Amino acid sequence: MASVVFAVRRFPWGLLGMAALFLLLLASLAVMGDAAQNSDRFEQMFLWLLAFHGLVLVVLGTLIIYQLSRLVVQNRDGVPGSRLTLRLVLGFMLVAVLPATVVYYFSFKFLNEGVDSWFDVRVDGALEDALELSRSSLDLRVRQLSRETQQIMRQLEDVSEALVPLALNDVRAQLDAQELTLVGANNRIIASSTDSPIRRLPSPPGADILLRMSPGQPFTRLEPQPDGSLVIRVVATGGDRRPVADSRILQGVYPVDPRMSALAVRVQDAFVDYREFAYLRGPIKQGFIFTMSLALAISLMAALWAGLLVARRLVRPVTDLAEGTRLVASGDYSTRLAVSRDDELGFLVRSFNAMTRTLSAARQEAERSRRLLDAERAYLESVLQHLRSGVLALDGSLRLRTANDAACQILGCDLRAGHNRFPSEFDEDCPLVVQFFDAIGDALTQREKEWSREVVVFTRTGRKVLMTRAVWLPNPGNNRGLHAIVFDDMTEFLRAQRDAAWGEVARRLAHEIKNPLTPIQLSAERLSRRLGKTLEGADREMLDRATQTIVQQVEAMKTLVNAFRDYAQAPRLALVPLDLNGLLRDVCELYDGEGQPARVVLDLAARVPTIRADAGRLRQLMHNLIKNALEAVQGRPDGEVRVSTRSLEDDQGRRVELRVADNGPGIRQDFLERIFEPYTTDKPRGTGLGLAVAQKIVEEHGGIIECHNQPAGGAVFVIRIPASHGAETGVGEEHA
Amino acid sequence: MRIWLCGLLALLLLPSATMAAEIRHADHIWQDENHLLVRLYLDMSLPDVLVEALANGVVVNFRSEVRLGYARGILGERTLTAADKGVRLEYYALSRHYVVTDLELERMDLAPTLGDALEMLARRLGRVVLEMDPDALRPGLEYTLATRVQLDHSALPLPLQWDARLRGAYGTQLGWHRWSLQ
Repeated sequence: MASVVFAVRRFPWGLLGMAALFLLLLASLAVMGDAAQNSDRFEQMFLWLLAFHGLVLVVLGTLIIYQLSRLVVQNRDGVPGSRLTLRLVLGFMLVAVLPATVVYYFSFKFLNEGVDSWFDVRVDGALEDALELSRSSLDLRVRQLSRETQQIMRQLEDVSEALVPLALNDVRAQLDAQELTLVGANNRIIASSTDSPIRRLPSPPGADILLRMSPGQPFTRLEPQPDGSLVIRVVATGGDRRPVADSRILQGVYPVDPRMSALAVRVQDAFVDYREFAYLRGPIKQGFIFTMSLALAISLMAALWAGLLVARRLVRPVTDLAEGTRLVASGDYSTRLAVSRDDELGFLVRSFNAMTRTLSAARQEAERSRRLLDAERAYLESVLQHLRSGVLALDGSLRLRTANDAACQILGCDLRAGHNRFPSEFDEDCPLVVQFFDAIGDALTQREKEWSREVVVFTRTGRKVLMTRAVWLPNPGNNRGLHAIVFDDMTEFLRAQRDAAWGEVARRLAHEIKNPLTPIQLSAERLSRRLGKTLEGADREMLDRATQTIVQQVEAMKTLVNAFRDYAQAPRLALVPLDLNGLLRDVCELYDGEGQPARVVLDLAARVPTIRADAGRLRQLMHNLIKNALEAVQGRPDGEVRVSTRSLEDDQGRRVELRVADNGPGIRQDFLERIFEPYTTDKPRGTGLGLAVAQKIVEEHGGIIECHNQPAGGAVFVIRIPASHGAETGVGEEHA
Repeated sequence: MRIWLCGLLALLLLPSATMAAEIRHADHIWQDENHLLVRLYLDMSLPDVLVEALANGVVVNFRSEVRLGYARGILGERTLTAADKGVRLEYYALSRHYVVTDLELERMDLAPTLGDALEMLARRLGRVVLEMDPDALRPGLEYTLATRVQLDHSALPLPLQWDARLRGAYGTQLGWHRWSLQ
């Protein structure tokens, strides 16, 4: 059942309708041609057929104009297939018009010349001559009968009216006339004789005849009869010159010899037919040309219409294919075309559908693989980004391929911006990267299979120790090979290790040394009290000096031990919201007065954020830094220590920056690298713990401390402490 | 060929020649109880194309029609009875006369000139007998007699019928002349 429905749907109903229309038009043209040859049918059907064909012409013309204009617009708009359709239609038009025009031209010519060839001047002349001959023959008979009738009339002039009928009968029989009628004045019939009294009633000459008669002149006329025969009518008057109306008139009707009559009538009919035919030559041609032109116009229009339909039907699969190809080119692989034919175009459509199915499957597979790859890559990137270790990947030509966030952070450079760059292409903006690659360049160049080394790079704030491990992968999926480099910033770890070691040392010192100091001091004081009473003079003086020296050195050792204790055992912080500017004013006020080696200048920002800090620890920090700075400028007449603050906001959040700068000689570079390490000092009487404690206090507050020399001279300590969530405080002022 | 095409176009576009025929007057008389004689007084002349056609042997038929009817408002006119009369006009080359033939009576009249023939033609066409039943006439109702004269196209040779049909040549439709039946 389904196959039947499919077959019905696929049946070319349009073509069938078109064929039916053509047959109908052909039939109607044939009927019209037949009607043009038959008067009755012409009368009945011609106008209807003409109207029908005119309607067909109008409908076809309208449809063709509509279709052609639509085609032209589609062609102008670049609709797929319209150009091919237009070309096909033009081709069909050419194929239809050329032969039709040739046939029409020759038919036209043949018709003209053929119709003209039917007529010949010689035939025309011969027929005229024949007619004239007939007329001459009949004229002889007419003249003869005219004379005879006049003679009889003269004879009857003297015959009384009573005897006239007898005389007429005799004369009629003698002349073989059909009728002889004698008429008197006022057209009164005096007597009449006919060959068939039953069939013919006597009739006087008509008024038209009498009007044309003149006295003494007979009237003659050849008259055709309804039965096709000819008669000769002669009307004669008497010999006198009286008016016709007053005279006796004899009217004779004489039959023409049947043979002669038949011949004359045939000649006349032939002549008339020929003349009529010649006269109708033009209208005949016009009729033929009109019918032929109508047939041509209908045929051409029907052919054009059929060409349009066929072209559209032929081009439709191509159009669908073009549209489908366009969709496939734009990435739509789900396009499927309806297969409506079993020919080569149908095969092409099926192949197209198979191709799109294959492409669609391949695309889905590729998409799945891509998603998997993306997931793997995202996973790997996520792992890399969350690593605390820096990871770099360089290809065989040492071009940077991958860098994670930790690598960027450790090396202080946005390495992603330098993707695909060679190490030598990194400039001064990334000094650590340059140093790093300088340090490992030889290992990379030699493509050592696996290596590790400690790389030291130097920053403005000190050095960084990077523990670096690398692997050379000759063929990781590409032909260039890959260096996988993993490194960790061990600086903090080493520092923490060192701090822990120093803390342990300090704790042990405090524990092992501080305990014996008090007995030593007490023993020295007891010796002084006991022996002082027994000694005098120089001995007593020496004893006092010795015991005093012991006590002083013990105090000095206590101080040193306390310092170590403070470093090793940090007290619990009491963090409160703190106005750093206020605290700095309080601290600096202690150094504002006579006897100070240099002046302390306050350069505070107008508003700085509040910080959460332990005020006591920060005071200790500031005393350490200010004392350190004052010692650096001691002896300089223009010595100055400048304490400044400002607010900072960057990718690490909102912070307060505190700077303590001096205009002293600065710090040696080799010392600068270790300046915050415990027991590091360049002063003869320093403990070497001041800056170590200062760093510890800053770190306890979540901040950082840096030290570097200023370009104009002197050193500067920069401390950055995170701001607490709250309003800014403080009013800026410059305090000396 | 172009000349022919232009000629064909001109034939289609040019105004058609018309038969000059005018019903100058019309009346009627009762011949007896059942026959009404309608008399038409015609002034007739022929267009050149028909004169030429006649001279070339074409036979021309004319027909006069008479209708008796009454008006029915928007339904138009209803014809009670009708009659017509055909008359043929031809040129008889053998005797160089025009022949006017009453097709009903089969009576032939000869005229030496076309003018005489047309007069005869007018006389023949102008006598139409209408047969009717007087009882069918309802008193109080106004009856109308209508008459017209026209060329009989179907009697023309076919090529001339093209002109007559396509272009309305020869003035084939004269208007109806109407008057009341007293």
